Amino acid sequence: MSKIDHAMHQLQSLEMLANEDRWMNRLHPSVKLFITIFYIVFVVSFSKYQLAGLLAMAIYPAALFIIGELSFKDALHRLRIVLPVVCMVGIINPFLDRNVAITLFGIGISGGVLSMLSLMVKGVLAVLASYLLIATTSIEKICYALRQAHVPKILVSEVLLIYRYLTVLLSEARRVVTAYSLRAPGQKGIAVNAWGSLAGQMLLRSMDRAERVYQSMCLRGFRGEFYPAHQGKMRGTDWLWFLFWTLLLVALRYGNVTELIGKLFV
Amino acid sequence: MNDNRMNDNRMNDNRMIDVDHLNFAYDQAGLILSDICFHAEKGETIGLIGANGAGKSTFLRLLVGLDLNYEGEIRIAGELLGKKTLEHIRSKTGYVFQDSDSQLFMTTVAEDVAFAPRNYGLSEDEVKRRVDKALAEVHIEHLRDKSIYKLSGGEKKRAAIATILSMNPEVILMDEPSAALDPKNRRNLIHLINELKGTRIIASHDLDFIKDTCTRTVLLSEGKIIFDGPSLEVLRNRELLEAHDLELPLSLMHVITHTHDGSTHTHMFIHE
Repeated sequence: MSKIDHAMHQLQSLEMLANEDRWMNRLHPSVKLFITIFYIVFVVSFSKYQLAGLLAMAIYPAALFIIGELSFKDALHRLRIVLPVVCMVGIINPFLDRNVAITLFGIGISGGVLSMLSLMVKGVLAVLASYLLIATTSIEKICYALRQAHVPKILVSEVLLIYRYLTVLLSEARRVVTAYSLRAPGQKGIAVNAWGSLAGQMLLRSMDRAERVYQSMCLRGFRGEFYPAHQGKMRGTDWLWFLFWTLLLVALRYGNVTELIGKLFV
Repeated sequence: MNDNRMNDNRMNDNRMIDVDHLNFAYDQAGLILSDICFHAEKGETIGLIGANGAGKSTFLRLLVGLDLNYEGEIRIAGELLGKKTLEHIRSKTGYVFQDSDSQLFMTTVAEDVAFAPRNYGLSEDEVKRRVDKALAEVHIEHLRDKSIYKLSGGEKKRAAIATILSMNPEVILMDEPSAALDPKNRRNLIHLINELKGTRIIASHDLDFIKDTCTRTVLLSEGKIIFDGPSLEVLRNRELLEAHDLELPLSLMHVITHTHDGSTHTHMFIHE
């Protein structure tokens, strides 16, 4: 399978995952979106030396992987490019802040190392929370939730169209690359002198295809706003989920829960 | 032109599409459609045939207002096509693209079929009813929650048709519907089109497909209507078809191949 095929397959399998009929998938999208945003804001708001408190926030993705019956291994595979990039943030901090901040088992740990680790954990947790949202909620439902939150319709339409055109772009790229490789047997990758024309071809073909998709939408009454299926009112389980996570996240952020747990063992 | 209806401009209650003296050009290079006069009655199924570049697809695109820079008049159900009426006309006109991938863009089949009814502001109950009905009409109820990426070519074509049926269109326009379909799916599509209601115009190179679905056929060549009349009349007219770069439908041909004096001969006859 080529890289493009693989990318398309990943995109499709993520969509299918989001459309599965599971408990987590059936939760109201507004609740899932709100909790995710809430979680990311809380995670990011930890100070750079509060690593212990930050680690306790991992309970949210951990619980969702279990309740949502999602594979952590698949998630790591899908995020294999994003996660290392996120982990690179703050990599120079140990060189900038060398003052010892804490001593653990007789080993001094500098503030730079702590802040680097804290940035890494923040990034990983935020990415995992976003992944959990899109793995359990289709793009249409996320857009519905965004509209419910009064996000301007132009922005929501942009999100949905960009997402749709990803597939268009990938499928056109696959055709162009397949046509090239069939006439360049044994060649690894694409020769540099062909990059310009191939990129141009791909752009023109993608635009052409995108135009047809847009025409098809207009012919079916599209007037600049998507109308995803109405998700109905929030049910009791949605409210319970919302309250449970809101309270727990507030407790983890402001209640110094890690210190209380630590005291239990001291 | 062999049909008097070409010059008949009188409005008729039974008339669904009225095209009068239509001229269209993309640029100064020349007319793509020249002085087209065409009328379609309610419930008619009309084939639009012609070689590549004859103007079939352009004609269909103009009927749904995908380009409004034309001269002449187009009326759908008595309503003059223009910027003000575009939305209303499109609400009763379904257009099936040649490439189903351009038509299907939502996540699942049901979501795609529901796209138009939701855009027209129907209630969620009515949307569900329309989706169920459209899926049943094209016999793909079992594909309701299937991802559009997982559909075969024939299923995609049916789903594409369902996406326009959910609009309850009075006019259905199809551009090369049989393209890229295998024989079984092609045969199924013929049955399906014959079951559909409303005025249907089918643009195709596939003359056998036209023969099996359309009672009336319009032959376009270099942007002009050359013939407009009963399908069998034009589809049996070998001279006329060959003069406009088309060939007799295979189902109307009887081919005999034999060898004598060391050489092979092929003779073609038209089925009576």
